Amino acid sequence: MIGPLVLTIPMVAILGYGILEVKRSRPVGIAISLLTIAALAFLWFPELASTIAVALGLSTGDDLVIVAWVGLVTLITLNLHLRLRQQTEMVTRLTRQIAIAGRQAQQDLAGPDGISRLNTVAGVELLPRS
Amino acid sequence: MAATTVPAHVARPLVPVFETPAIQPSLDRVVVAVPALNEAPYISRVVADVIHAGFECVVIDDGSTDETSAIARRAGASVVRHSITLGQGGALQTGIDWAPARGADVIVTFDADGQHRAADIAALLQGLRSQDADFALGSRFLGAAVNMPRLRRFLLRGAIWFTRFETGMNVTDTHNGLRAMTRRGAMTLALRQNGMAHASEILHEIARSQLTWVEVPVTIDYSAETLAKGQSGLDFVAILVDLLMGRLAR
Repeated sequence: MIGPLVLTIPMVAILGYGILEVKRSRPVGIAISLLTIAALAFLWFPELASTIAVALGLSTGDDLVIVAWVGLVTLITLNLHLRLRQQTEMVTRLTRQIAIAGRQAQQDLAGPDGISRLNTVAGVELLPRS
Repeated sequence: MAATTVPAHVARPLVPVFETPAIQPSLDRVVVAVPALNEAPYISRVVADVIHAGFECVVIDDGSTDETSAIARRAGASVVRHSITLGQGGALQTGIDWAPARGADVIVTFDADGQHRAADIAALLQGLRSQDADFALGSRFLGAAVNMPRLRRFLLRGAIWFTRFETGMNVTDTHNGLRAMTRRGAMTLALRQNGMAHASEILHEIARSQLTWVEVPVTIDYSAETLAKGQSGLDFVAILVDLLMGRLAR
């Protein structure tokens, strides 16, 4: 009884993670949640895993648990990739704003010859020094 | 018989109050946005050609480590410089954000490697005007693709069919960087694909916006340099993966 109890704690944590991720990516969040619920069911009702395993052409319920675990890890990896992508989008927006603000500042501070002496904005180099 | 003169305000054609005049895009100020990454050998000629054709040019330097920015500025372009490299899609969106904010009525996107012809810009503008469209998309398959390798042609054909299926737009070309858009069209674009998948994303966004578009024959010149920097077969796979991941992230 200790085994399923110990495994239930991280499974519930992963389920919570999946539910929270629904807001960010619905298909991935729902898939993680459903797969975790299935894994919890297999943990507490091993005979259910065996029945489904036979129906799916897998030899034993243990194999099904492993397949479910691999699927879960794959989904979490995919989710991390999507999260990284979101971070990249934020970096993109920030970079764009700095570039446009830098160009604007250069124009605003241009000297009588029309050439700006401003080379950096917030420590970011606007033009490579030649 | 005494000559009668018609006052100017009467001579003008009258528009009945119940008739709304067709909305013509104001094409007064055209800005050509050129995303560039380490294009020092070509950028001077590209900027000079665009300016010689009578258009303003903004080069979006995507974090080049060579003299691209300085050369472009000397050639007469405005330069907006990314502090880090984002990718062509990221640079293009910077140009699309920057130009309307500076009063551009039309934004033209133009590659920095010299494969586009500045003379085609006028044809794109004519396409916008004559069709009252918000997007004019250059098509090398309606125009000409000089020295285009067979593999590239084959891959592009596949990409065109995919685009038609995915967007419902009956386009004859895809992933052509030469296009023009009105300010209204530009405001509908918010590209999230920083890499090469942005070209497919633009078509997807045009389809979603339900604004009018037209294709215009243009010429693409392939040289050893442009082919070396261009897309390979593997890039097409990367584009598909990027598009899929982009959808999942929404």
